[in-house]
Amino acid sequence: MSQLELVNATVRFGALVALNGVSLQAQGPAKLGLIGPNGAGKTTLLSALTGFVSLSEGQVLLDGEDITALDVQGRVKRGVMRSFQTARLLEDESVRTNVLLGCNPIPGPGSFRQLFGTIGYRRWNKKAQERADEVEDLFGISDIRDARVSELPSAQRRFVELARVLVSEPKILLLDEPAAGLDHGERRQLEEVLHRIADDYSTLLILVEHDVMVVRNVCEQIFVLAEGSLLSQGPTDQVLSEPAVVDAYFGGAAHA
Amino acid sequence: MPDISLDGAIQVTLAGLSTGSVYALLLLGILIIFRVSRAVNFAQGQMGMIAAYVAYAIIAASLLPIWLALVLGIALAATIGLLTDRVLIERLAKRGALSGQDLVVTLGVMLLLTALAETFLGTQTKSFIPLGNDVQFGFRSVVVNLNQVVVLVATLVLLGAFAIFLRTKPGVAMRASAMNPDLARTFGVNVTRVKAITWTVSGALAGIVGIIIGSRLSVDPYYMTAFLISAFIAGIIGGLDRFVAPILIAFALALYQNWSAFIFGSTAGTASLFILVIVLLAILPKKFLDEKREARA
Amino acid sequence: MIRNSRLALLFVPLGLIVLAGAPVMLNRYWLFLVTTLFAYVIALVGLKVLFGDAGQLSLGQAAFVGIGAYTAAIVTDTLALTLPYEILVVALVSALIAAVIAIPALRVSGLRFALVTLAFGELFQWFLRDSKGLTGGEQGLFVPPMLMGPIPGKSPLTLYIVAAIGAIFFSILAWHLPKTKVGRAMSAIRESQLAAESVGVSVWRTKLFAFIFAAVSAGIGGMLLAHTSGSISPTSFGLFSGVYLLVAIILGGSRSTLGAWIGAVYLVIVPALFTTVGLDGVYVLFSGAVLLIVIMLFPAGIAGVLQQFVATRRSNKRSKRREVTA
Repeated sequence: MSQLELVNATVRFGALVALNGVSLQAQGPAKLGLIGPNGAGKTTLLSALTGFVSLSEGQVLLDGEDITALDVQGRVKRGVMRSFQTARLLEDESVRTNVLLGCNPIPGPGSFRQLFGTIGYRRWNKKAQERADEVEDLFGISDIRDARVSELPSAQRRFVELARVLVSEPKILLLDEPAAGLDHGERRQLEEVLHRIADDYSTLLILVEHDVMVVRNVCEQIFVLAEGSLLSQGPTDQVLSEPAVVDAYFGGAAHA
Repeated sequence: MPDISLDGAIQVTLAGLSTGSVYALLLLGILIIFRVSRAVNFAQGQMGMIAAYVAYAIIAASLLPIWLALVLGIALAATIGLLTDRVLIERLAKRGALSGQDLVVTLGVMLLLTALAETFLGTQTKSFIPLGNDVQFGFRSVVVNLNQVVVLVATLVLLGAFAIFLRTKPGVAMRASAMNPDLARTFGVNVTRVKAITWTVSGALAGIVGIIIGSRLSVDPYYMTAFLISAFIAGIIGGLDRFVAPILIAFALALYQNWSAFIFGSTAGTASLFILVIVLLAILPKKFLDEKREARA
Repeated sequence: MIRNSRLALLFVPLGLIVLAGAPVMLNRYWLFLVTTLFAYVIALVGLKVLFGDAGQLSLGQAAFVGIGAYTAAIVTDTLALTLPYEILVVALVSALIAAVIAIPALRVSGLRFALVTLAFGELFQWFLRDSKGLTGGEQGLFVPPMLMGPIPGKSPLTLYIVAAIGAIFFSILAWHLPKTKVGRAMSAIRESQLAAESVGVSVWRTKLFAFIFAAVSAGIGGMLLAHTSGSISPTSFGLFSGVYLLVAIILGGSRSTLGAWIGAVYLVIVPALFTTVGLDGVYVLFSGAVLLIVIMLFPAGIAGVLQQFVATRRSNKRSKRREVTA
């Protein structure tokens, strides 16, 4: 059971108010969605929850504890991780190395012992490799594990980043538009993986998405953000049929 | 602590301003290049050295009148600046490789210029022509020479002119060329030409500084290094993308150095600068130190 | 670069044969050069980790080499420490000074970091020249031979073996590092700080590790240089030397351990070759021009070119096989 909360959160970038007194509670394991038109502040909200952006006002609570001042590293240690809209990868390295980078939060022996390859480290490394195997299988990228990431098509790059963010089995996972640029088959694959993650790993999954189809297929509950404020929240189908929500979306990309 | 009379204080301060004007000119060349290419030119000092060295060689061989030798030296430095841009920097920019590679490339140019000087002009220190250093005048017991006065005044005038220039259309075009060349082009800015001109002017500036310093000290392949380091320190602390802050810091640095040397002795003058840099960076609050971060939103 | 183990498999047995044969085949002068080469390999390996892997441009590596050299000289002379203790002291002193410099240095990155390392290097120069009592000032110091009990520390063969072991040891460490958790963290810091943060990498802790590793490597390399050359002076450890170390690792290939070896060859063997053919002055010119050419045409250095070559041959073989079996 994990709970991530925003209490009256406001984020200002100079004169621009990106989030305006937003309060929401996310409880898991669950599959939650965060939708809204362009510029609504979805990515800012995700960044605020994960520590990449500081709040001008308000609090972030994790399992009831105030983590507003906790930096990204601290939050990752508590199992709160995120992916990015544009995959941030180590371009010159292989898929496997990129996925293994995601094992960083898994506790293990210190740098010194890693350097000299002690038994403790080799044990950790074996565990990390097994986890990487598992997660690569999940995304179907096992056979390209030695390929250089810069040479891969964008869908596979997306999967590599997702594999990286998953391999440490975070308690709370926030994904920033993971379906963007995927074709129909890849989207189905993504949806299956997302279900597996939430169900098998008991993750609290928060999906920031533009693609309403994916949100419909994956998320049980959704939050709707518009112009920095929370417009609505509740069970997916119910919220999606609300006239205010449909209105907010009109003109924005409702399907990919 | 030595006796500080008013005259002594004025003397030290004037010396500081005099050195400061040279730092500022050297830094100006670095700043305009950064403004227009977002590149860090480590070769700025050596471009100046080459100008002075070549001018010296011409003067020593009595081939041409002094003023012509100086002009040729400056023109050579300007050409080197232009070539660095066209042959190296632009090619790197096209490759999209600019982050960090520009440092290494200009480091390479610095090495190459040093090597050329060592090979063709010799490594022995040679005394340059005085250029007004010998014309002294003073009031009370403060002594000042023509070189110092002219350079200081000229520097201030040049800096003022540049400050005004920055607000004009071509001045803005400079910055636009670095930040968003495609956008600049749509506004009719000839980005290639702006860069070429800037590098050429910067080279000429380097040449002028090289000659001024050469006239005050003497020339060898390495005499510009210390000045370059000081100019860079001022630029990096003040911000290479700014103008007023780094220039002011350049003057402040020179004053600091001269005063430390006066109070603690000349060897301390050198060390004091580096101690200052290290201490400053150790204690300045994080806010002032953060460079531009990757896009967050 | 994708670790090309095939390249390693080619060079390792070749290297071992050459290593064993060298003392027999080379005369005193060339043996001395190769020993010096090993010392530089160690220093360059440190730069490979700090600059190549972690992406931090340091102009102070030569200063740390100097710290190792002077510490070795002083410790052997005044404390008469035997080699194992000497190595320990050199490593500790290097690590400690690095940790202190790290306090200001690691708060910043990029150009500012380079500046702090430069400032430190210049400060060290000033200290060397000013503290005549301890460091011999401008003249420098004579370095007594290594103290190794019954083993003759002065013999060129001993120096060769110790240096070779050191070079191989540090090379293995540097080669292994990118495969570890902290090594990947370094790559992340170099490539995408956002990615690094998002997996919870402690940026300053990782940079500190790289910085200390580089300092200790430089220190050990400096110690070996000191004993091999028998005398040290401040000029070898200043800004230009620092720049030359950078040139060497970039030329060799900053992200490759093989690059450190190639760089060392460039620093030690190439100038000697130029001198043998009587073209002393040309080396300097050569350096500047070569750096420019390599950066412009082969950004991954000579090691990168070799890796590409091996990779293309491998994929050609693969596609040929596919054509035949299709």
